[in-house]
Amino acid sequence: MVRSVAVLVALAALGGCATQRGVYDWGGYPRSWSAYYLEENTDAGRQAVEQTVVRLQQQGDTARVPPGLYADWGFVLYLRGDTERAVAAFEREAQLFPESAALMQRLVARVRQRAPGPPEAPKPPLGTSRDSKAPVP
Amino acid sequence: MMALVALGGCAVQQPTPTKLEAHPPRSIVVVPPLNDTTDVSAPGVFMPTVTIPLAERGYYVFPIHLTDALLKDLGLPEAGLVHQLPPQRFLDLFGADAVLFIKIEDWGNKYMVLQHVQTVEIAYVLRDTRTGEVLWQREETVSRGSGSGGDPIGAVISAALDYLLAEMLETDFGPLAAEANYRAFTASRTGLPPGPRSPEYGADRGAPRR
Repeated sequence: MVRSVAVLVALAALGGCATQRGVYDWGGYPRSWSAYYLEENTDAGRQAVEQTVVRLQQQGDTARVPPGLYADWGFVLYLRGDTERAVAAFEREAQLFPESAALMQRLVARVRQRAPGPPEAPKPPLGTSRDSKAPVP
Repeated sequence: MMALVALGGCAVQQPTPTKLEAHPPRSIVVVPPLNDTTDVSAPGVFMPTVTIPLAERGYYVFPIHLTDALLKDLGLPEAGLVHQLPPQRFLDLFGADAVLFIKIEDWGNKYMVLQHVQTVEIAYVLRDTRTGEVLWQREETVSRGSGSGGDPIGAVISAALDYLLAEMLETDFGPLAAEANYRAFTASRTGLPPGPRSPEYGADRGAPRR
């Protein structure tokens, strides 16, 4: 019984059905985005990021945007070949989270350098040693 | 206040704040984990469970898949290579204050008489990217057992059956991994102190550790 309570608390910390309000409003996007990235569910991840972005944008200033959401959104847009919106997303991440600014500036520079191309395939699972042939942001 | 405390017979000396409490990093980059187990799926299942507990604890967490993609693009496709980089590299590459190295030490189903146990064991080392020094480290083990008291023969059969089912079907270790991270980061005294973005940040600075 104690074990299942602890698991429930941990799952709540995952940002789903919160037993207590967290700092950020995750909207379940990290899990779906991970599924996409690990090649299990191509469209769900992209949609999850987009849905969370749109929903939080509608909330305006009260939105509790989580760290990395706009960076991941920029990554999705870059993979779709949408360079300018990717740049805008990276810049938004840097605005919301100045800790990320150095990295976001680098990504903007890299994205602008590369010729727009067809969307890249998702990357191989973490921790494996496959060669990465496709360019990434 | 200080004078009263000094006069009191049961005054507790303030412990010296740890480096982590004195200078908490604002941002943490979590790099692909080392996998010490035979389950090649472990890193992929484990990594997505790190972000939320760590960010909710009050630290900026660089997106893990973006991190992974960048490292691969820099010619570091393997976690082993990444873990050998000097911590200062992560300051150069990400602008991160700290880097979290994780090793998955155990991940799987174990059959023990009267109990089938699912377990994950994770080792964490957080290093300052400017100095390379260890800010925090911890090992966390989380197990979920099924096996009942009462009838010992029934318990053996049920544990054996659970073990076989877990081996045949895909057991999702995600919840166990999430629990390990949550416990590791939020443990009182030995977890991470609330970070700069946490509502609890600063609440207990200067106070004795719980």
